[in-house]
Amino acid sequence: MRLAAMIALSLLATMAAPAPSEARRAAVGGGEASVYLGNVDLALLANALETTPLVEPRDRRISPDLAAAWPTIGEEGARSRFLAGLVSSDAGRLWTLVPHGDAKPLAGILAACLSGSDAWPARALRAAGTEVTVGTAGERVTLSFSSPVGAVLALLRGCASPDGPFLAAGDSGWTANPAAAGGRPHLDTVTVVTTPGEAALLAATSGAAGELLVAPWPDVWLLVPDEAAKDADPLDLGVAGEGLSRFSDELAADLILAVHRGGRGAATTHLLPPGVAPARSMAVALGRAPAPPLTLLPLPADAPSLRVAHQAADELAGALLERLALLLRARGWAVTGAESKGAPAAHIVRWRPSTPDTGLALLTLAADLDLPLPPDSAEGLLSATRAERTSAALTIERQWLDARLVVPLLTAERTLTVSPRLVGVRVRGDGAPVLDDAWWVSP
Amino acid sequence: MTRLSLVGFLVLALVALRPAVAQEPGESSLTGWLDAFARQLEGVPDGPRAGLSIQWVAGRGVEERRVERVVRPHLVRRLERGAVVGPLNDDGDSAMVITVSLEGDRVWAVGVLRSGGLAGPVAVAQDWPVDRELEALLGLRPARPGQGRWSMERLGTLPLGVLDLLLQDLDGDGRDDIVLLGVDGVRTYLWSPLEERPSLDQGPLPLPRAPWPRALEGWLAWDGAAVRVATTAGHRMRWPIDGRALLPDEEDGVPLSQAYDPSRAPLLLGRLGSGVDLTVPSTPQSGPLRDVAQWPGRDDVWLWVDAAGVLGGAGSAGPPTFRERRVGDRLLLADLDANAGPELVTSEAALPGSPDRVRIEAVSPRLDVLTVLFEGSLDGAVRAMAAGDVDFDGRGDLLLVEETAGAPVLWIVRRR
Repeated sequence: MRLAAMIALSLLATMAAPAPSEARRAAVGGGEASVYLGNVDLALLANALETTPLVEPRDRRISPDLAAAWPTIGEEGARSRFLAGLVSSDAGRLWTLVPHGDAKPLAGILAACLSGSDAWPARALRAAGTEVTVGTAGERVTLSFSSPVGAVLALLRGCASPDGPFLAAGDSGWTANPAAAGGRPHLDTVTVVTTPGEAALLAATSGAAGELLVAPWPDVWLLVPDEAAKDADPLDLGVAGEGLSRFSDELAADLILAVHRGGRGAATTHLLPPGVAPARSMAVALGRAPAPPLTLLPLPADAPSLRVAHQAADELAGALLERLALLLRARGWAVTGAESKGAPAAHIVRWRPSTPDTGLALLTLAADLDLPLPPDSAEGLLSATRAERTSAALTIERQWLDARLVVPLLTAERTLTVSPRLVGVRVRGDGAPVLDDAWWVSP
Repeated sequence: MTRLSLVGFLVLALVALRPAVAQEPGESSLTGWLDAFARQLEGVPDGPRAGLSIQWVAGRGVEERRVERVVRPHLVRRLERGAVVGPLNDDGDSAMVITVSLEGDRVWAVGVLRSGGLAGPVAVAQDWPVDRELEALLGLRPARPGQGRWSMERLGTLPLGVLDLLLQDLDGDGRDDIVLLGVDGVRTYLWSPLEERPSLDQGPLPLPRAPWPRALEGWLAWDGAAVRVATTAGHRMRWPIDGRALLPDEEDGVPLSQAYDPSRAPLLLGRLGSGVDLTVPSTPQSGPLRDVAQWPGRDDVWLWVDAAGVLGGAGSAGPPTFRERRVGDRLLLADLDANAGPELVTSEAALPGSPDRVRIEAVSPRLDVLTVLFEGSLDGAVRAMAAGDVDFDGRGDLLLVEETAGAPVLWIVRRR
């Protein structure tokens, strides 16, 4: 299949023609957008093109005038093309959803999304130990949770309807869906191309010319030690933040990002990145001396060692491993490959939050890395109030950091490069391009 | 005095008692935000009861001195008044670092509390939507200086989904009032001389339900007796200003508001073609247009934005000789400096990919040279523009709606 071959070849899209972008102008219909995927998953692009989220937030990632065309639901100003409203009862254990259309198809979508699947809402609920039963009552859909869940609208942002703006058209890519939720898109077709030079939209982190769109929040690189490595604490992290701050200084993430990501990213001492969690600090560093130069001496034969694993294809993880090896050697530790046995182990992982909701993102992190949640923490993380969800999540994040269960390394932005003439392109939270409202301006 | 103008007078007299445009109701936002934070902190089980020391950190988008001078004293007063948290001093057995930051359109306070009585650190986080009060107190939006004798001031936020703007004296008091077309209907605003900003008068007068295409556009114009309304969703409505609802309009045209000229109608009618392109039969331009303005007092001078977004026209000496350039969808001809003769108002991106700026230029009927009188930068895009005299000072005022990531923002540009 041609599209599958494109994945193998790691392609991206085209339709070019440079020109300055314009002042705000109404959209013009027609045209084709060609996408070069690079190392981005084709399935991700297909999902972004062929589905429409059940719930969208009222925030900067939605065009305000488009968002205003349909009313808000819920207290946090969410919008939906599928739901007219929802109410909760039994302290948040039972939710009744009023769909715009038939209840049964919506119930099917919700059942697949909230339970029994690998979608992030299902993973978050499983991590919280909450079970859900989806049913219908007349023209309404009911969600029955085993424990109170207030953040239903935030969860539904991870569920999508198949009535997306584009329809798969076999090898030729995608064509506009006239019956799309929200109306037919402006573009006629979307294709995948194999050469970056042909693409109107590059989903790879290349240095191509064009307008750079940055995903709403960055990826996070984390070091996850096993129990033995956590107890040995080879990085001298200690507890309560001071050791972590010192380690972050020594890691020199800014230099790594400058070399490998054009400086697009930042050092971090937190697990939840900007865009997902608000700024927070452990303590104000008053006159802390800069980290002393590293002293590298020959390691004795019986020096302890740490096995560190990482994805070979992850260039940034490779660079982090090299730097970690240096820091560990200065502390008298050797670094060995993941295949050696017996020694404490850790692995470098790239983690991408699935949602900007702080509480739900922390739940998915717990699910992804198998991190322990304190008893009774689910109620706070799934609270109806964003501030309460955030407070609960940041408390648990701090506890994980103090316990050295996870060590934050750095954050790096995910970007798309778009022809300046192709306007209205948005970037979804997972980094996939959203072309619902994209259109070409005249040359 | 007509009944309408009496109503207008009474409304103006009461205007100071009403909230300004699209602001948070009720008490101070700063107070509400910090009170919510304090209540969370006071609710922490085994929280700080025997004294608390607080460190403050200015996070993303917030100045340190604002945190120190605005947030800190208010929160300290609130905690002392609550008398739940122990004394605030450096000797307490509990310590908290509070970070204040701007995240999107919300301001956050996040405190991380450590205490001898707690099993581990506890985070307390509280957000609040940024409104005009918080913007001012936290310095989140810098003041915008004018150029020379021009000034550009932010008047407040508007409901989401603004499509067009019209300035028209609705109540006969001599000053222009604001008619706003949004996706949900028509609203009117009256200028409050006390607050120096508009205040919601009525609305929304709802538009009939109709499916919107992806291109959301709307037009408002005064036809001498009523406000004409058209949208890309197919609405063709009239609003007699003493009416309580929009009425169907028998004419199918799209109304394009024109500069004041007592010798002719205050609008031109266009026909909507593909997308949002218009054909306006009475203009010298036969091709599709986005907007057109006829020179007041002359029948032979026109300026327009064509379907490709290029500024064009027909002058008294033939085609224009000014530099051809691409602008936004809308343009205005209006006398903004009381110097006789209109100025041209357009919007355009300052640099590729950057937000819009609004530009006021001097232009003669020969359309030979455009001289920039004022340029104002925005954070977003210009959605709608209209000119009139809202403050009754005899000079033209330019009102524009900036489409931002959050609520649309209303600006006024005027010559002092």
